[in-house]
Amino acid sequence: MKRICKWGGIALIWAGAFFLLQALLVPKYMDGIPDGALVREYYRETTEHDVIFIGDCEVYENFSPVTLWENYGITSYVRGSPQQLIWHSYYTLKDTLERETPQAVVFNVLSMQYSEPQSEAYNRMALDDLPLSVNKIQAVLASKMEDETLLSYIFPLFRYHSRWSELTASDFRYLFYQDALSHNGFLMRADVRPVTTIPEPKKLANYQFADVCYEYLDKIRLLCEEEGVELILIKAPSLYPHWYEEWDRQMVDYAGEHGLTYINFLDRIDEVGLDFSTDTYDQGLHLNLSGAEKLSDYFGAILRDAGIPDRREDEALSAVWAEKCEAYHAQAEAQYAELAEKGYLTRATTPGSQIPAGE
Amino acid sequence: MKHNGKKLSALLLALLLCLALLAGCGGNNGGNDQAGGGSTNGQNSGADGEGAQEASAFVFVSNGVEVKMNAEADPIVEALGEPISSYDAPSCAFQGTDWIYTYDGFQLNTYPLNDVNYVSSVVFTSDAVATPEGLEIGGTREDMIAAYGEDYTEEYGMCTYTRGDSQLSILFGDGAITSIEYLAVLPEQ
Repeated sequence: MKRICKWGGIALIWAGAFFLLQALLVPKYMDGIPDGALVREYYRETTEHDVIFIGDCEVYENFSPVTLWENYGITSYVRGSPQQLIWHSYYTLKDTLERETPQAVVFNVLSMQYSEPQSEAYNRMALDDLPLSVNKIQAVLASKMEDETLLSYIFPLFRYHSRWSELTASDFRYLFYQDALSHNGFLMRADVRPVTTIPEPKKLANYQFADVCYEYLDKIRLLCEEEGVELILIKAPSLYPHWYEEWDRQMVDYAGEHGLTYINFLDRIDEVGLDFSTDTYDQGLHLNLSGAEKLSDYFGAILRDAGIPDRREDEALSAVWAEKCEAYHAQAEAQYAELAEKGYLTRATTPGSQIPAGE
Repeated sequence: MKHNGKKLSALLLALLLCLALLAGCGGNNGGNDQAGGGSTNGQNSGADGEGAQEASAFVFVSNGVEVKMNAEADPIVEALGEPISSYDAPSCAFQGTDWIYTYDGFQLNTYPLNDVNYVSSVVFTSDAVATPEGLEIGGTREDMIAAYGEDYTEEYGMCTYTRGDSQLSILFGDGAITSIEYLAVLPEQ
């Protein structure tokens, strides 16, 4: 018995040391790349959501859950990650639906153009923070690049061990707890960089979306059907990269064939009220705060008309969202104040800024 | 208290051992940035400038300026003169910025690697420019074969020649060339 206790103790110490090291060495994404923190933040939510967004930066930069709440009482969360490919989206959704049952899932279809994994960096930001489960293992197997290993996603220490020489104070400061950088998955940028030109799109040899993308789109649709969740397909109104007519037609056809709603917001820029001289922070790739609020307000009316309930009468939910709104408006005010003072945003107010705080 | 002290010492010792082991097993699989390292645009990750070019690689020439694929872009852009427009497209999560320079008749695209921009492609946008071998938008398949031969692959009306770390892709529509593109490729691709 004593012997078992002794070896058990040693094993525990080793396991503790391993996980402590792992926690220290994995990227925390607290300095300059908040996009990498988005997946983990979802798991801190204490209440459920009626609307879940899935997709890439075209959802987490363009839709503001706080605006949906304030204007329509709609509870929502943006489960986005950078260059989230369609198999990432499917497994992220699967993970979400194991935790809650929203009334609607909104999927941005830009990723239909990618039939293969694009880079390890984006895989990491989509998958590292998914809790360990069969779902995560399937997600990794579907996503990994040729030279990536499943084991390194289960134990990220095997991937990040060489970061030991690059550790900064931030790795120690955020060892056990990382600040929330998003507002229910929305990353805020209040600065403006207007569209002055958009490159002419090049002609493609083949505009047909790959079979594998349709396979995952079917999986997303069927998963929503099984759970009784309405699936809404959207194309966010980002002007670049180009969204081809031929691609759009395929989505219109798919939605028609399966009785889904598909909204291409590029066709509704005027209706939404977007002005790309003021509503984008990077020349039309993403909307800034004012643009995201306009788009969310417009989409909120569509969601309301589709029957998504107004939860503002729910006191418990209202209390939770009051805190979220407070944090949101505090950051918005801080960004506008910094813009007024300096003309640009730093990390003091904007985790995604490439300019360190104090500069 | 003494017992806890022993446990803490053992934990610290284990931690140090782990660090030593992991540092030792090193390996260079990236891990040098927050985002897990790796390629920035999924298209290229190993270009190392002109040294990687083979003599036979395709080269586009505009006003006497040679534009080689995977070559450092900034000196080329400077030599080409003021573009009609330029557009920078930062990738999600700051994995780098692609630049698109528009000139009369063509676009020059770049990709970033280790803070240096390299040429990723040249895309013809009109018949205002031609390849050094004389091929231009509006040309025919016979023109293409006369200029580059028959050693090409074809998919969906796109004929692709590969030489060194470059490709030349020629797209046909209604019997005529509708697009010409020089594209950087990795040597192993």
